[in-house]
Amino acid sequence: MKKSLILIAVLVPTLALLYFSLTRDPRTLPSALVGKPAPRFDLQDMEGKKVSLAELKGKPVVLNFWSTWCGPCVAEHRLIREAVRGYEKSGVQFYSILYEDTPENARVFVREYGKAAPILLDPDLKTAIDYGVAGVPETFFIDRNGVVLYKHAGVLTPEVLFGRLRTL
Amino acid sequence: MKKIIFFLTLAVVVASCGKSSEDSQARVQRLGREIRCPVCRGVPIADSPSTLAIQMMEVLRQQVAEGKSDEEVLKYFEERYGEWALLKPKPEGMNLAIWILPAVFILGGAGGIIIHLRKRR
Repeated sequence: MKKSLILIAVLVPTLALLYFSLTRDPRTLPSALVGKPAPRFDLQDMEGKKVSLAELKGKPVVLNFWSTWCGPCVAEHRLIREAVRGYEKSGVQFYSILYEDTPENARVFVREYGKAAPILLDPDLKTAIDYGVAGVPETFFIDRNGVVLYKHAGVLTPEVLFGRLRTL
Repeated sequence: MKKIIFFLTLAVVVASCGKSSEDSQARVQRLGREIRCPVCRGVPIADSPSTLAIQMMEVLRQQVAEGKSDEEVLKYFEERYGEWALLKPKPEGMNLAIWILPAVFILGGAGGIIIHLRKRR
């Protein structure tokens, strides 16, 4: 009886630790960047125009990392279009950063689904790595002072997107 | 004599260049084995075939080439992906359990065996 109790006392915490460490999804963990200055980026859009975070200083920014091959990205595209239309006048800058995808695919996507935010190219994934992106879609909300307020991993819902936009 | 000195110097320079490049590659691989791939999770970026891990290795390579220390390189990834990205968690707070528990289990097991053997005698 005593032996089996000791065995349980040792096995249960060990298995619990193993389960905890092996099942943690990095995308569900709070971003290490929240509350910190957003990493700077200098990227080009589909037309070759340069866009840098430094130039956007003083304006709230929403960065959405996405791909044409990502189902949830397609699902949230219409919502982002709505948000861009609704918040453009209030100065919020929306950018969609293409992740592990080609400009050609993005052009076909825009023709089919319509344009939402300007698409920025990140061919070497440097900006995605700078933002700690582990997969798509991931969306970052950056305030006027250039501080990351929130990161959302996974498909955006109207509650999350418009709720967070109101706090910017 | 001058020729010999010239060739000896050249040999030393070539040998040291080769060594330094080999050392830096080995360092990149060692550090790459300390960073967890965000896509494959249980696999270090040095061994992951995912595009993201390959690009993370490229960033790591650039940082090593810029002369950044091991701590600076690991801190860069930790600041972006959180402590989760480190395959060797820092020995502090709750992480201490990972470092202490194996020793506790080994000592406990050894103690149990000794007690059991003594009882049998």
